[in-house]
Amino acid sequence: MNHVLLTDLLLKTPPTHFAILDKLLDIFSGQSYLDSAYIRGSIASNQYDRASDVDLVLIIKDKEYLAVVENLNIILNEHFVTLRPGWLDKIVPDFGGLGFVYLVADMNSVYQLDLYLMPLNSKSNLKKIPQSTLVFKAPIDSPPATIDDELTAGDFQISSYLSCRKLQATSFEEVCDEFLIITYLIKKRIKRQQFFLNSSETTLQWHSLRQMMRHLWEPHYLNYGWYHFLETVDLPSSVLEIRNRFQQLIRTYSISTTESLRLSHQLFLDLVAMAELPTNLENSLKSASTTILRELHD
Amino acid sequence: MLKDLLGTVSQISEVPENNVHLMATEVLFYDTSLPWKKSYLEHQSGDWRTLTLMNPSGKVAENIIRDGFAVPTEALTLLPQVDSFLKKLNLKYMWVRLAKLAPNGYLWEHTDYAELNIERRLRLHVPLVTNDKSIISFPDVNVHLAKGFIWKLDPTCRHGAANMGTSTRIHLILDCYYDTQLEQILKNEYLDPTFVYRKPILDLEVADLKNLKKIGHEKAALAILLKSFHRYAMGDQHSYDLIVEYFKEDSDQIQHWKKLKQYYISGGIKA
Repeated sequence: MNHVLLTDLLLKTPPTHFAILDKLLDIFSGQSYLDSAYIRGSIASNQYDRASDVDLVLIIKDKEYLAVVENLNIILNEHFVTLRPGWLDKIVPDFGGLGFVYLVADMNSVYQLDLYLMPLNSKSNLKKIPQSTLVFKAPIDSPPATIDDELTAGDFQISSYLSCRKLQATSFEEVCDEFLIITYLIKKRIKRQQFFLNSSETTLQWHSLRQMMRHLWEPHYLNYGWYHFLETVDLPSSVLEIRNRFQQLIRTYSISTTESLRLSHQLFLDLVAMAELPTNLENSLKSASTTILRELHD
Repeated sequence: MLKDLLGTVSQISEVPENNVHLMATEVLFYDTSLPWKKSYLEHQSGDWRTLTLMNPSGKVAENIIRDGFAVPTEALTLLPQVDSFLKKLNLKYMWVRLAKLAPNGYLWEHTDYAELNIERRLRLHVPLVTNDKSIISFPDVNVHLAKGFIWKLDPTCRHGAANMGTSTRIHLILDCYYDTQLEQILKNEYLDPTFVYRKPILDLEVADLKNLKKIGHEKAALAILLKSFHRYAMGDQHSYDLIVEYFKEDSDQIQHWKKLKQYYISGGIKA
């Protein structure tokens, strides 16, 4: 067999995961703030499939860390069609930085991009990340990070920023994005028949829907979990209808199926419509959910 | 609003689904072997390519629009369905081309035709492959040029284009001189409001983008500012004005972008 031909084809038309990785490295590797980049997850272990996410860890020099985090959406938006701004990843373990999940649309498919931004001062945490594999290292002659950069100047600032970001109350919009990302994850579990992960993420999806409802009708109970959930006596009939559909959904499905995802998406769309959001935000959320839902039926 | 817009953009005729399908199929069949050209590079982001099917010289390589009576290029001979469609329309063509806009592709705010002679002409778009997030932007609205219609566009008005969807958009674009045939078709023009999207008010703090320069991503800041035309209702304001505001302490850049604004908005971009 002529493997050279296959290699040529692969180079000309790499699997989309690699094309995305390549583009990401193009964007970031030319920047003086990047110390190094590592891939992790199934691509690093060569066990990826079509539904795999693209996992990249970027080690950012401390001085520029906050500016990169704050502008990440804009930087990616220049090069990718992202369905929504990045969702602050609450599932990834704490490696001393922040993880963001993006859904990137490419030629009628959606790909999950997990970017972990690690400040250089936390680089020792890399050893906690299984199978992280170096894919870029800044040349030695590039401007070195000063001692001030690495140890003092940004360190306290970064750690307080990270604490704030992690503790920040989640807005309605962020809960919506959480719902969308988790739905995308569940879709993978259904395809791969990963029942345990499906079960766990289904619970997270219920939480997102619950928090959307809390935001809309019980903002004072945002931190109360399921306690007193929609128990107020004088709820309007439209809210009762939503509550009943939600209750029915939870009672019927212990793990998600394509049908349950369709129902939860309909709930999501109805909640978004009831939230009286600015038109562009409402459209963006609806459009992202429709794209994900379309993917479900592929 | 629709009435005001009708002078700028409208549906002037239906195109049977089967015709669109046949034309799209042959374009997609030859897609990779067709000599698409990436032009007007400084005026776009992403990937916008054109393929000249008719122009005054009959040479496919010539893709900068100018006046004259168009004759077929060799590319048109590969596309008999498109050729037949053009013959049936029987318009006085100045230039005919296919334009392919990849996902995340943008043509910045501009006007056209300023450099051409004074003869009356109009641009028609025939969408062959599209998605509902492919739009033509005007100062306050975006319009999705849906398949199944011939669309009129007056390109002397401020406009831009964007493909915010996930699949490629391909339009057949006809620049035609006015004649009785064209005037006849224009009599039936209308604009279906379901394809018109009012844009939200401008919600962008230019000062918030300053840090992008410090970390080496100034291009991303400029792209966001140029995309403001496609995302927000700008009224009389231009995306280029936002860039001038961004560079407020850099007189060379201010001059540069003021000149570009003059060129793109008042002088035409020769596209």
